[in-house]
Amino acid sequence: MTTAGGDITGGGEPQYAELHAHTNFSFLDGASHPEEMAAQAAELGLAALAVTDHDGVYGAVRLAHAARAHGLKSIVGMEITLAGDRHLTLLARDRTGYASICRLSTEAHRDRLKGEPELSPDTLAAHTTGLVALSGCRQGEIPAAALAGDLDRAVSLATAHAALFEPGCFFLELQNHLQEEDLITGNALLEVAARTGLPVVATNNVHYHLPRRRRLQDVLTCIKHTETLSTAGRKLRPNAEFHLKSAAAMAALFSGLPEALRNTLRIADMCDFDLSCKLEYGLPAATVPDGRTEYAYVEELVWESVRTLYDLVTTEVRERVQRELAYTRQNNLAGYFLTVRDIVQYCHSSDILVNTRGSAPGSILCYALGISMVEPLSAGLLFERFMSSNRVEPPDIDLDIEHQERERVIQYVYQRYGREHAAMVANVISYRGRSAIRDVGKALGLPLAQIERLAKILSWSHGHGIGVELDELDEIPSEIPNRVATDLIALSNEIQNFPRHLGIHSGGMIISSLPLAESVPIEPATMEDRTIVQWDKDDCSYAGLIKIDLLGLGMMTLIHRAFRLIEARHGQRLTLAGFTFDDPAVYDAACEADTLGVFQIESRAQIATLPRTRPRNFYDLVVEIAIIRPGPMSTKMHRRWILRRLGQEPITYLFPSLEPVLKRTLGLPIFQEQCMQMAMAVAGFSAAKADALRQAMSRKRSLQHIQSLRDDLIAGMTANGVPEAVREEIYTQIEGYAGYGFPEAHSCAFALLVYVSVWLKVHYHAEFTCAILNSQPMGFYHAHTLIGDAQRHGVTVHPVDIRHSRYECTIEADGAVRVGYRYVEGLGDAYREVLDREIESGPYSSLEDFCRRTRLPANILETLAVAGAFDGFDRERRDALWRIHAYSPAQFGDELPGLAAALEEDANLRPAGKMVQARMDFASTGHSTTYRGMEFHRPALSAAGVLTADGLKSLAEKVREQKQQSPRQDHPYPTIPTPPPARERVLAPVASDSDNPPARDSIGAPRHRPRDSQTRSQTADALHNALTGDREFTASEPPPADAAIPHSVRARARTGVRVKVAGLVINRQRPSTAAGFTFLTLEDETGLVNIIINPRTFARHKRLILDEPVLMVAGELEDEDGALHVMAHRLSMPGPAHIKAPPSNDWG
Amino acid sequence: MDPKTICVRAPWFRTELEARAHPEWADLPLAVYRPRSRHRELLEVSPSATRAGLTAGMPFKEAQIRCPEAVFVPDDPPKYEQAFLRILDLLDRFSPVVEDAGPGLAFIDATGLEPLYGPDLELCRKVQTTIKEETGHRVHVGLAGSRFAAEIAARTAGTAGVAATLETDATYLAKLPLEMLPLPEKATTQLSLLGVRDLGKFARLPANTVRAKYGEEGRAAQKLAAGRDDRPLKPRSRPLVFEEKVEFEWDEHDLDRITFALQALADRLARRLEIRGLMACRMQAQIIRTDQSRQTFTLDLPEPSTQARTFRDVVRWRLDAAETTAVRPEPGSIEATLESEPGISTIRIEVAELVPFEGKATNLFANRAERIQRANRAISRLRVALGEEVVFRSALHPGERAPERAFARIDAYVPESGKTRRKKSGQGAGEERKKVNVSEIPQGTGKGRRTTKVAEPPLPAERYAAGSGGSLRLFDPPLAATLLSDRTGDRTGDRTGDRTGERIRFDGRHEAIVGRYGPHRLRSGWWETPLIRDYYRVLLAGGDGLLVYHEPPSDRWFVQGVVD
Repeated sequence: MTTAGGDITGGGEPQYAELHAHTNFSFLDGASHPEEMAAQAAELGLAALAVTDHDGVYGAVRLAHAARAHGLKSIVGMEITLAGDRHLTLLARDRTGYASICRLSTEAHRDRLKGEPELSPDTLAAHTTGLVALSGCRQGEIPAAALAGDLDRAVSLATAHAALFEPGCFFLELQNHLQEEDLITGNALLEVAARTGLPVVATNNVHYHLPRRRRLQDVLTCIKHTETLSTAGRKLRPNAEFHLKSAAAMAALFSGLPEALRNTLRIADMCDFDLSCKLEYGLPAATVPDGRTEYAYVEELVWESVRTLYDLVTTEVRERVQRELAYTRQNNLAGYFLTVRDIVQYCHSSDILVNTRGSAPGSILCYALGISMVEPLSAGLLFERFMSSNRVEPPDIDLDIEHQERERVIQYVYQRYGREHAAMVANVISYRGRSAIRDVGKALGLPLAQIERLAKILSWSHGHGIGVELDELDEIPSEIPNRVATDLIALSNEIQNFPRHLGIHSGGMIISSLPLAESVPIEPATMEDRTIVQWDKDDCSYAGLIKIDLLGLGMMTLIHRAFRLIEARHGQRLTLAGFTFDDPAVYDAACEADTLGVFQIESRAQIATLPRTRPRNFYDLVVEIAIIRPGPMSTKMHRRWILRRLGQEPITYLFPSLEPVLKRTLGLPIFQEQCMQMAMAVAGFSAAKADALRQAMSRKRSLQHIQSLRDDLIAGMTANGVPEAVREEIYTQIEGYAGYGFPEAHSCAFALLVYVSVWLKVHYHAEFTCAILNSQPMGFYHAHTLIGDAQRHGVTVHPVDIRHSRYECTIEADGAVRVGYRYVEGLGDAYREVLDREIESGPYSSLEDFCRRTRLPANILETLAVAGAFDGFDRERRDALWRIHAYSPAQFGDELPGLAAALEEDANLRPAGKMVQARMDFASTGHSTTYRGMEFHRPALSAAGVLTADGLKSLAEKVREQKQQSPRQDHPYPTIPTPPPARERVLAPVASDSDNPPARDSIGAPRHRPRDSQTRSQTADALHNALTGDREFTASEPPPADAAIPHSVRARARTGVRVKVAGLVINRQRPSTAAGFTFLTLEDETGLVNIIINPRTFARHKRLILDEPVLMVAGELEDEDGALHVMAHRLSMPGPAHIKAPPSNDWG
Repeated sequence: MDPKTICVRAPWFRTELEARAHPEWADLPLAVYRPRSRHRELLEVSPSATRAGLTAGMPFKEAQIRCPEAVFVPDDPPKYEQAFLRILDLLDRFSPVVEDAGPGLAFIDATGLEPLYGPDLELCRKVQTTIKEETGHRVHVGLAGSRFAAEIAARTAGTAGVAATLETDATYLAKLPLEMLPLPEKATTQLSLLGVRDLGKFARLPANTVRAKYGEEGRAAQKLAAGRDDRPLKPRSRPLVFEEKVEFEWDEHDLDRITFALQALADRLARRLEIRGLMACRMQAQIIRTDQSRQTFTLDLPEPSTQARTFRDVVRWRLDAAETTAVRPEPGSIEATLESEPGISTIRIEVAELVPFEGKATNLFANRAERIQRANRAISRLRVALGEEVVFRSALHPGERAPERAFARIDAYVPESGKTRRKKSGQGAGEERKKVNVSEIPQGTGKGRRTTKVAEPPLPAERYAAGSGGSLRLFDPPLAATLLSDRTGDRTGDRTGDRTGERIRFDGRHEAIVGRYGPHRLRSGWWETPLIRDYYRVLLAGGDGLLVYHEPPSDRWFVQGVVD
């Protein structure tokens, strides 16, 4: 794309290219998205648009793509900050110039505080190749001298600047925002131009695409300077002239200077670099032995591995390997595979558990190179989802790493490839409802308390506009004037999705063979030893940078810790690859939703679903994970899938050609791949177009992307003779995935972890509990809930005791879990070494011995006393708390042993009662191993007829029996399918005598092959069997179905039984897919109770629901095939809070 | 004889004072807050404010949200201290030992007062009744053996407002909750965990351990809990009174004679101050007419001084101003006093605020100091003569774009010598002058038209020849103007193009325009009062330069200022 060039009036109409524009990626100094800028520039008919965000190219990729879509020429630029907070506008003429911009931006950020980049003159001078420079806004060095009337200095600076750049590449920048200062500056710069012979160019220093965005710009300025609109004063621009202007408008402003506009076109012609094309940045180079090529080495490794992994290399296997190798060779991806393999090998060698997720399990190459644990053929995983010849983007390999060890791996990558070649992907932190309300409210000068009140209202809301929610809830405090409220809502909505600052992506890393800083600027992250590129994952992907995700996963930590504990205690060495996925006990536990703490299927929604879906094989787990996702849930696929699985809805296909695609998921699309396949099957999409659909589903704001493909889909379906009603339904199903669904391969990889975690919980609950306590924070549940769950399963959990505890939780000789010091408030990692070293060196002989050896400060000794850690030395908590000061280092210093005891004075304190002990437990460790919290309310609750969680289950069983015995015609209730025999093991204590390991077979043997006897082929077989049951690949046999139920599921679940329950609120959720329903989970001393609250009840009891840590709920018992809920009618507080309840996990 | 102490606590002292000073607030919740603390916590709340949910210690912002209709008054210690003297004076009647513990709190030694006033409770009631009758303030009175117990008794006196302990302090305090003690929150929390929830239990804990765990502060609190308050009452010191007066034997109207008498008073006052090593920074003058009516006025000195001339002059200026003012005096004012019969019978002058002599004599130093001194005197004279309104400091308003409001008025004028510390009369405690946050200043600069000189931005000489080197005199409010076309006589709009033949009419002037440059666009204040103006520089045929603006919404023109 080139401009007409030359004459600004080309063809009579003036022409203009805007060369100085800030998008909202100037971070709080730009009030329009790059896409809005591009659209408006195209609308105005500008010849080109340059994005010149502050000190980086943060929004350049987006602008380039948006401009391309509008047929507009885009120019990559940057407004760099020089010493003294002076600005200079730089534009890239070509790839070299772009590299210069990236390098300069990198250098400006190097060793600087975040948000305070600055470039030294020497560095600027060293990287000016391929650049066009403009003298900058009024904050530029030359314009500032001109405005100050120091013409000599302005001339000398202009001459010096021009000398830095190639001849003809430096321009004096004129701006006219209808301000007197611009006029003065402009006149002076014209004088400078006359004296130096430098050309002038007009720009508008654009900060928003339309004048009406000026208000938002003012608000952003206030946010940036932590001011309010009333106090910001001259920090705000005086008028709204900083918007994109047409050529005619600019010509009017510079009526006497046609050359200033002509030069914009000249510069636009000089700049010929398009960032919407892929960057050639060089994939990472791998170390290859004996001078072989990377591809040859990969080929050799793969075939060697395939021969080991597969007993028989079938044609299917061979063809798949050949196809993937061909693709690898064609796209030069061998180095990439070797790089990922190198990281995986580092993990293995460093005893760090690693697995892959995402689409990579669909690749046999990944499997053969040891990157993936899932055998793709038997799992029916599509290679095309991972990579295809039609894919525009490179493949994406995500590695799951133990979350507590991830930093080691990241630092390894930095070390291995160098900071010049490796950096993390950024995460653009954008405004959402709460943050928008907070920042806009502050800028409008609202009191903090009011802002917090409004922000809190939004904490449980998602989705639609802020104004709608606030209006609906009538929550705007009456003291806020209407005008301010209107501004607040409008501006908060406008600021939605505006980038605020850069964070770090959860694990994405870019590795390159060429210096990365010449492809994208690198800057230090706030976190120590981390550097990030200036783009998020989507922009990296658009620019063709391959990302490797090194994701920290708490569950990996848990599993690895549990493996170690099991090996240490039982001598059984476990690996992820060694599981056979056929243990009925695992599926029994899943069917009973006994899944607290396990991976993925521990959420409230999963727990409510599992008793109905009753997974019986590995593939059931794969589906179970995938159906409770926003994508399938938004289209109600999960409910229909359950009905079909229960035989309560016939399995049908919307169009015959969909049968092969959807057969294994009972006629319904569950996975992302199926959407691609559906598009190919019914709309005739090519693989490339289907891949575009996949990309649309994977990206942020995917709904808009998918909607952009709607016409093609509908047209394709029409051409294939799909009836109109069916077309719409198919499209709706596909569109539903804009809300995010899993690829099958990803679900498969996760299912593996689900299986392993359930297996650990079923067979080694003590080790599982110990591991999960040591892996916190992770998952949905607080340690208090997890401990309660373990205790209900017969695991003994002991509190902190200085005679036995280590820093981490441990398993004691009798199989009990001992809580570690990590749970003691204020006792951080700093004391870990001394505590572990001292206990290793011998038991403490006395309290004084402990204090003398560890030399913990007085406040921590007091907390330990409160936690009861000294009980073992016959020190009652209050007594210990009273006397412990005598043993603090500050008291006794290095005095002779025995002296401290002499300092003790008896206070004759009354021993702490149970409630005080409970309070002490929660205050000192955040949980209690002895008290659940609700037992103190129980006498009153029992008197009020409030049921426990156990009581509720018993009642539900009775109701079921009654219904079965005398079904009522007016309120039909289905016969519940007979559940498999309850596992006695579940409620029985786990045998834990280390000298006499439990006979595993007798409790449902953990069928885990020892590593020595295990080969990859066995694993593959095992997985194949687990997935298919030696039959056609499908979900397990549906349980026996009753007659079709004509009522809705909700009506079916109603029992008509009124109940009251109460408990600590451990979870609050209000998913956007739930039509305004709110879900609570209460925990009492016997278990968990699920509460459903309809919008009306929520509105009535909102404050209680949002704020109270303990609730009593009166409502109707609902029983959906064994999944129990209480539909709340009335909520109240059961009485004064006896303990400070652990924090709940809300709105997650 | 057992020692006895009475605590007199006026829980609503400040708010009652404010309510009395502002009858219009009578029905409103009222709170006094600490203006300089971080969260501007409430110091005292009226009973109606308490009912509205406000409590002492609550952050100002929270209080505002909880009770938007409440009136919030910043703490003014000198004012309240002064007012509390009245109560202290009353307490003097009961006992020779009275301790002033700050506004609203006093202790008196009640040992041996029983024969004079009857039993303890009776004494408490008498104290309460006396204060109520003489000052109108409601007070709570507690009597106990020590000041801590007495204060607790006063705090827990209940609706009657009086309480006297019938037992020993230790016994009385033993059952009270631990929160009554001045202990850090952390210590209170830990003691609660230990099961120590009342003062009795706390008092019985081993003293050494209490000291070790909670420091000297904890040990001191433990002593209080045990009824052992070793702090003796500190009898209040009588403030130094520097007062002089003259009584005329006739009705005096002549200012010269009054000035002559004033000189004698000022001389005596100056000598007394010098002997004490003190300087006056504020005076109070009182005139008493022959009909015994009194008029009192306070006069700020230009700077702390011991000079009789200064004392004399400020009073004379005030009287002089009253005589020369063109405004007809309000009945009852000083001016009216001077002009009406009966005349003045007595003049009393008193030092209202004192500071220690700083060894500073500005007139010994260089010229600048002298200039400052002169300027200060002139300003002081202006203020005394014409009122507080006429002299003020101004500063560039950070939040204002409109030129006529760009300079904010700072009410408090502080003499340039700057280091003046106003000390509490008789105590010497330092109290810096309030720093005024210009963002809090109300807009506008008062009634009538004023002009303010502001620095002129650099102008391109060839375009704004008339404005070059001059300074802009702003009109506040801007003057309405009409721009007319010379040829047609029509009003001209905000159009661009040829300005030849334009004329401007404003403030009775009617002149031809030879140049109009602009517009310079101002669009500001959209969040409250939008400011929509297009500014122009205008050159008049007579050579004057104007800054005019066009207001598009109303299509009106205004002259913002002239270039002198």
